[in-house]
Amino acid sequence: MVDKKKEFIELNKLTLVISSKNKKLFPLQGVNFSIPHNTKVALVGESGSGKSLTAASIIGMLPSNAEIIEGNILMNGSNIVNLSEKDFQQIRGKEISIIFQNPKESLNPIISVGKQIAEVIRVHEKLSRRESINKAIKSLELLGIPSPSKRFEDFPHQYSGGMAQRAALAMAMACRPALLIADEPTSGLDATLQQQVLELLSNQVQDQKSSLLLITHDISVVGATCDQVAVMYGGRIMEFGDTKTILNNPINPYTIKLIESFRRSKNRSMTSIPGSVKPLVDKLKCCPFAPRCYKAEKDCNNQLPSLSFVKKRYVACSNL
Amino acid sequence: MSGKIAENYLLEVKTLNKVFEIRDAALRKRNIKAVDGVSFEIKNKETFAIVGESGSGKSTIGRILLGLTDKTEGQIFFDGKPLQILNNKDSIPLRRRLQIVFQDPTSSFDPRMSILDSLFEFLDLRQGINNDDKFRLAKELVLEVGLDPEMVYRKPSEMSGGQLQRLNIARALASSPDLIFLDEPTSSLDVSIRGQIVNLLLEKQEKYGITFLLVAHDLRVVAVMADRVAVMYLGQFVEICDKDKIFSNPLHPYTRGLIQAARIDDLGLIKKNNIVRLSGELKEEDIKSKGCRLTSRCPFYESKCNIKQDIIELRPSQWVRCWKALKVENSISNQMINK
Repeated sequence: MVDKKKEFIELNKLTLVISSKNKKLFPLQGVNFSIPHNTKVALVGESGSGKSLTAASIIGMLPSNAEIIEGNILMNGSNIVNLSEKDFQQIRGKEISIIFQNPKESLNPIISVGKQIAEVIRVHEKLSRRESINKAIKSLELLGIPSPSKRFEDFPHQYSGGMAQRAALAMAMACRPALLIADEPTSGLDATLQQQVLELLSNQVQDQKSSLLLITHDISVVGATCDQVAVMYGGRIMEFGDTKTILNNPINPYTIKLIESFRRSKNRSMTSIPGSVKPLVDKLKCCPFAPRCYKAEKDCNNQLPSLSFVKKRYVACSNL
Repeated sequence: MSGKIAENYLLEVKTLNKVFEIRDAALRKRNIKAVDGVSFEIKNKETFAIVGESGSGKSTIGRILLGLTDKTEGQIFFDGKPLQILNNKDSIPLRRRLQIVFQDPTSSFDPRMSILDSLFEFLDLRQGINNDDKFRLAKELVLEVGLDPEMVYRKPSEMSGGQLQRLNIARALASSPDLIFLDEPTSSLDVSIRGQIVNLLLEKQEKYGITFLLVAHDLRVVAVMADRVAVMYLGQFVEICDKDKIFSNPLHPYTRGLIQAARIDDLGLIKKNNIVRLSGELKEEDIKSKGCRLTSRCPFYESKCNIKQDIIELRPSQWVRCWKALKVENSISNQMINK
């Protein structure tokens, strides 16, 4: 990418196959993008784009029937694709943390919230029990949870949705990871709460000088939260670069239409992209968006466009 | 509610209440008033939207209407006649005139049956059609919603969410209804294809003169489809007005907070002043509040908010449940001027 030394995480031509009984799917098709240090990056895509699997690859949480058949993932220059589960356990929580859409996926239902956070701290920072409990209470307080010493004792089901997501975030940030992956952390939360949680996420990451990878289908949360955005479709990165540059002046037709769909229409019809996403049953031979693209020309159905640096961002399109 | 003589109202709802009895985590019985004193009217061929977050009670209203659950109190009039629970023989003609499209595209189709067989079942609601006619009508309905008629031989599992939702609309149209309750019709679909369904609904509304009761939390859908909008919070309507007013000049603090948080005009690129930020989150226990239910979250709260608030026509055709709404509007515009 731009400056190889600066990138914390780099994905190069990452290709994934998922095998089941008699079917194969190729949900990631040569994914190229990177996450610099101390930067907030959004990976935006709709259903079937491959965004969650991209996140899962980075943190070694791919399903057992998934295999990376091409490409690599570099963390500070070293390839982490073939690390063992044991190695990933050292990384998870410490270097790379993750929170999910449903906070209950991050929290053990039968252990008190505080205890879970304290345990993560104790294991990774090798502190005493007392010290880790104090640190856990402190982290709950930092995340805006009222009466943190009391809430320490409560169980996840005693937390409301918004509170539980804060607790999950507290746990994820407890060991100051270099990268926080947030996989649809606010989907399903109501608009006013989304705003609060996203701000919290952003502030936490900024305070700790970590990087953030925000996985989302909602391009409208990106503007206020992330420095960079990557737009994904059909297992490929379509456009990638500075958020304001892309949101104000998108080039890839999919990005253009996606942004249009998220804006309020002032007339009696709503922007949409015709057709629907087709499952990726083979390696791509042409642009995955071509069948639905308003700008598609002959070349678009014959070649698979690569990312090139145009107008201050990376974009993949045969018809620029 | 309005004191006006009812004009051409297809649907009138007067002080609708719905109490659910639930058991909490400690197995104690509790009463939750999911719908509290809701009143509204819908004109013929209009689209009336109810906007609110989950837990507001908006879906319950439609379910009561469709007879899927009974009301605790209140009156509903459909085309001037009282609407009774729709599970007896007399209500069959009425059932044809009221239809529903659910959020979950798979919900109306038996996964074991072909689409054609499912459509046949729905067409049975129309009397006096023989099998040949049913076959022709089924294919026409599928074409009508923009799909290839050959698709009728497929099973639901072979269709995408968007295609199934089109079929749900076809199913709802099958009985030539007067009113369709759209319960979050696009919430399960990717944002970039919601417009396909919205535009289809608008086209059919225009063609057949259908009235819509739309429940949605996606303001983009409301912006395109609605004529009038009611904003709902914890069982109560807090604002009712024309669609344009909701976006250009909302009066209730909750409406303001909702519009401001939605980022559908600027995609969050413009750093807003956040004058109206709702803190915390929706809490069920706020239902017990004697006064305004937003008090624990509202930046404009003062003690007078703890008294019972009625919904009042503060401006022509704009009803608001907030004694302070005009004061708030004044102070916000002053703050803007002073920048």
